[in-house]
Amino acid sequence: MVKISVLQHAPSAHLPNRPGDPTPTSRNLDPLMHPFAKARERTRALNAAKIERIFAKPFVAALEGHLEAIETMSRRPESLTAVASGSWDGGLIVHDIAERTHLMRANEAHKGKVTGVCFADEHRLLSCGVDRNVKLWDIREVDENGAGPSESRKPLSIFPGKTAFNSIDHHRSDPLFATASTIVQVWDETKSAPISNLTFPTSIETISVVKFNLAESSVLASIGSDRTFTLYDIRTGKAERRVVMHMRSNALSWSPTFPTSVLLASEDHSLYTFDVRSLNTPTQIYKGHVAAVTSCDWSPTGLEFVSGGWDRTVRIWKEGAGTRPEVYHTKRMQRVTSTLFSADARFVMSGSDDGNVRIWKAKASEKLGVITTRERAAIEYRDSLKEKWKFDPEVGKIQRTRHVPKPVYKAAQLKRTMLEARRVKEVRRRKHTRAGASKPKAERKKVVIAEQS
Amino acid sequence: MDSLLAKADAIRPAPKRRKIDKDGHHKPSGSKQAENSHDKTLNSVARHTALPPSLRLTSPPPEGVKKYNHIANKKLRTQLTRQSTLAARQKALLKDAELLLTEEAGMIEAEGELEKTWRVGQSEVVQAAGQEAAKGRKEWVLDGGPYLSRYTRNGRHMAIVGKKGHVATFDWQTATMHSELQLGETCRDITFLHDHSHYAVAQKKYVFIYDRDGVELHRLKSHIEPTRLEFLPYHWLLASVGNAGWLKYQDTSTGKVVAEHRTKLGACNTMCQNRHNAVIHLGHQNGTVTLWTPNLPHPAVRLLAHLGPVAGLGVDPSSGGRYMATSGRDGTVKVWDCRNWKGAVREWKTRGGGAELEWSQKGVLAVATGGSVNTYAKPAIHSPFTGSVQPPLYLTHPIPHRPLISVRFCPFQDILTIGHSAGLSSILVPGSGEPNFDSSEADPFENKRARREREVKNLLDKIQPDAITLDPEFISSLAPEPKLTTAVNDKIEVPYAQLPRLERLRKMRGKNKSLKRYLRKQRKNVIDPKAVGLAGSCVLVSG
Repeated sequence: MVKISVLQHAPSAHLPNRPGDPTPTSRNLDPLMHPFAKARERTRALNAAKIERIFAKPFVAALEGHLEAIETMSRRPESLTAVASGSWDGGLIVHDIAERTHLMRANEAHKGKVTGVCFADEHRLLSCGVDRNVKLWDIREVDENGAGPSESRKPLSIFPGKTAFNSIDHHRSDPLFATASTIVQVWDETKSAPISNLTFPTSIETISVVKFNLAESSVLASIGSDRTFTLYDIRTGKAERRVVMHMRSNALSWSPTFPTSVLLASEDHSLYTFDVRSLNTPTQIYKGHVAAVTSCDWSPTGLEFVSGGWDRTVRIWKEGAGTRPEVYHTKRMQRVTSTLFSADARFVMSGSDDGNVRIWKAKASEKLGVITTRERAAIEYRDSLKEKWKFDPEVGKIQRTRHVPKPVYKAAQLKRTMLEARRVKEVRRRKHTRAGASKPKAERKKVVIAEQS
Repeated sequence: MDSLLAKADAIRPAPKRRKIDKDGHHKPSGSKQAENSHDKTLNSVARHTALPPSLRLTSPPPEGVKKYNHIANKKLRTQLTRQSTLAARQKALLKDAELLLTEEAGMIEAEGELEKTWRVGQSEVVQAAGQEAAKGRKEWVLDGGPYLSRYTRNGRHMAIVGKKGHVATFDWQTATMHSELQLGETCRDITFLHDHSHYAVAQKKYVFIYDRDGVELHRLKSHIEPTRLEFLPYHWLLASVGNAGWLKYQDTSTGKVVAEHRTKLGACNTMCQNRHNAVIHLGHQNGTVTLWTPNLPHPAVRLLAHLGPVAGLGVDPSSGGRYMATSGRDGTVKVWDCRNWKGAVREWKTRGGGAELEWSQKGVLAVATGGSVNTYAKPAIHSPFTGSVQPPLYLTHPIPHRPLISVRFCPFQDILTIGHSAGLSSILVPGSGEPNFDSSEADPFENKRARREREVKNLLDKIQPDAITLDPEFISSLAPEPKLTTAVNDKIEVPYAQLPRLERLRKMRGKNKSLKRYLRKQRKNVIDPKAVGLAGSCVLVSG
C-alpha cells in the first residue's frame, strides 16, 4: 500500500479560542521563508536613523527672569528641579525647572554682577559677586522664623571680602566654602573672616573658578588667568600642584564617578580631561567648538558632559569620544556662559548672554512622558539597528550629520582651512630642515607647558 | 593630596590571608572563583551588571569561530570576536528552532520497488486526505475561455481570469466572493498586489488595478498591450511585459514608473519572478531567456534555452532561486542551474509541445502539457543527468480540456490549480506545500487588523528598486576589491583628487617633455618592454 498524507492546518491552532483573544502567531526561522532579510533590515535601519533625526527636538523650555546675561548656574544637591542662576544685573533666581516657576528671587542680591552661586545645603544658597561680598540666603518661601516672602529678601549673613570674588564652591559635607578672587580663600559658614588663604607661591594671578573634588572633599582645584590649573588641599592649607597650559581655561568640573578625572573648558576651543595623577598630558582632547568654550558640566553618570561656548552652541559629549558631539543651538540663544546637567542626566540647562535659562533634552530625540512597553521595545530595536548598520554609508551619514547655523558652519570651515595650512607649513618646514632636527609633536603633548609642585 | 592619589588608584583585592581551617585538611583554592570572592568591588558590581541566569548562554561557543588576532586595537578585537561568536552561536541555535515547527508536510511513500507514486490517482489521495485537506480537490466549471489563476502570498485568496474577460477574486477556503467582473474584453493575466485588497488585470490594451470589491482604481496607460504581470512584493513593483516587448516596472506605492526596458526581442508571452532576488525572467519567441533588473538597461543574463519560442518558465523557491525550469514549443523541458549557465542540468521531451511550468514551495515541479499535468519531486529533478530522459514522475493527472494554460501551486497547501478551457481544476499534490508558515511574512489565518498592520509594516520596509541584483546578499557584504588597477610596475598611481594637499600643491615641472608625453600615452595596463626600457632611460637621463 502507498502511504499518503496531505498537509492540513488545524484552524484551532491558528485561530483565537475565544473572541477577543490575540491571534496565535507561528514562526519559521528558515532563511528561505524570509527573503531579502538583510535588505529589509537595512531599510528599517535607515528609517530608524531618519526617525531619530525627525524627532530630534531637544529644546524644552526657556526660563525667563533675568534682565541681563546669566553668569553662573548651580544645581541643588539631591534635587531634580531646583537650579539657581546669577546674572550680570545682580539678580539671583532659584528656578523650579519642572514647574517653570521661581522658588526664590532676589533682584538686587549683589551690586554689579553675581559671579558665583552654590548651594550650602537643601535650603541655603551662597552667592558671591563683584561687590566683594559673599551672601548666604534662605530659599524657602517661609523661613524658620515664620517670616513670609517680602519685597526685598534679606540674606541670612554676609561675608565681606577685600577683593571682588569670581567663584564660589561649597564643601561636600563640612560647613566650609571656598571662594576665588586673587587668591583662594576657605571660609567657615559661622565665621565672617576666611579661615585660610590658599595660594601657589610666586603666583600673582586672578583665580577664575574654584571647585571642590566630589569624592576626596578636601581637595580643591582652581584655574587662573595665568593659564594655570592648580590643585590645593585644605588640610595642609597648601597648593600642591600647578600646571601651566598654553591657553587659559574658562571652566572646570570634577567627574562625579571617577574622582581623579577633571574636565577643563579651554579658551582654545577644546575641552580637556586630565587625570590628576599625571598632569603632563590630558587623557582626552575634545574638539568641536569653533570658539572659546566658556562652561562645562559632567553628567551625574560620568559618561557624558555638556559644554557651552562663545560660538552660541551647547554641545553634549561622550566621555572618551573626542569628536562629533551632539550640537544644540537656537536662533535667539546668544553666547552660552554657563551649562548644567540635571541630576537625572536627562536634561541639560544652559544660561546665555540673552538672559534666559534654557532647558534641553540630553538625548535630542527622546520622548518625554509615559512610554509603553511595546514602544520601549520598538525604541530599543531601532537603537540596535542603528548601531548595527552605522557603517552603512547612507545610514551613518544620516546619524552623523548635524545642521549648524551658518556662522558656526563657516567658522568651522575657516578653522579647518587655517589648521590645515598650519599643518602644511609645519610639514614643509620640517622637510627643509636637517633630517631629525625637529620632530612632530603629538597634539596631547602640546597642551601642558609646565608642571610645577 | 597623597590621600587622593592613593584612593584614586584602582581598588585592589583585599590582601590574601591564610585561612586556618579547623578540620585540618586544606583545600586547594587556586580557582578563579575563590579569587573573585575576595574581590569586594567585583562582587558588589557583578550583582547589578551581570545577565540574569535565565538569559545566560549555557552552550559552549561553537567551533571554528573567526579570530581577529591580527587586529591591534584590543577594544575592537574584543568586540569583533564577540560579534562573530554570537553570530556563530545564533547559526547553531537556528537548528534547534526547527524543533518548534509543529506541522508536518504531506507525502506519498511507495513501499517496495513495484509500487509507483504516479499510479496513485486523485480519488485515492482524496480518500486518504483529512476532511479539511480534501476540500482542496475542486473542479470549477466555467465558460469564457481558458482560465488563469493566481494565489495571494498567504495562499488564502485566489484570483481567476478568463480569456473573454471574466474576473473573480475570492477566499477559496470559506468560499466567499470578493468581486466578480465581466470586463467584456480580452484579459491575459491577473495578479494580486501586496495582498488581496488590490489586484491588477492585464486587459486588451492596458493594465487596470481594481480593489477588493472590484472597483477600478487605476488604468496604467504606460503598460500597453500587456501579456504577463508579476508583482514583486518586497519592492512593491508591478512588472508587466507585452506584445511590444517592453518590460515595465511600476511602483505601486508611489505610482511612478520606475524602469522601462526594451527587450528588442519582440512580443513576450512568458514571465516569472525569482522570489529570492526579485529578478524578472522573460522567455522570448526566439528561444532566449533573459533576466532583468530595474537598474540595468540590458538583461543581466541572456540565455539561449530552446530552439523555438519559450513557452513556460519557473524558478524553484525551495532552493533559494537556484534552479530554473524552462519549456519550449519544441517540446523540451529543461532545468537550469542559475549559478552556472553552461548547459542544462537535465532536459527531457514532453508530449504536446509548449508546457506550463510552476515550482512549489517544497520544490515539486508541475509541468502541464497536452492533456495532462505531470509533477516531479525534488532530489531527482535537481540532480544532473545527461540524455533526454524524463525524471521519475511523482504524480500525474489527466485533464481532457485543452489547452492547459496555467498551473499554480497554493502556498502553504498541497494544492495545484490548473487553468484550462473548461475552467479550473484543483488537485492535491501531497508534499508540495510548506507546512509551517511564518506569521510575520504570510499568514493564511490573519485577521483584518493583522492584514492592515502588515500592509503598513511592509510599506515601511519597502526595498528600493535599484537594490535588485542577481545576488541578494550583496547588501550587507563588503565592497569587493577592484580587479582593475592602474598599477604600472607594481606602483599604484593615486588619482590627483586623492593626493594629499601638499602633493597637490606641488608644481608639475617637466611634465610636458616630449618623451614623458610619449610615455604617458603608452601607459596602459599592458607592460610593454619597449615602454619599460624607455622609462628606464628617462630615469637615467633625468637622474
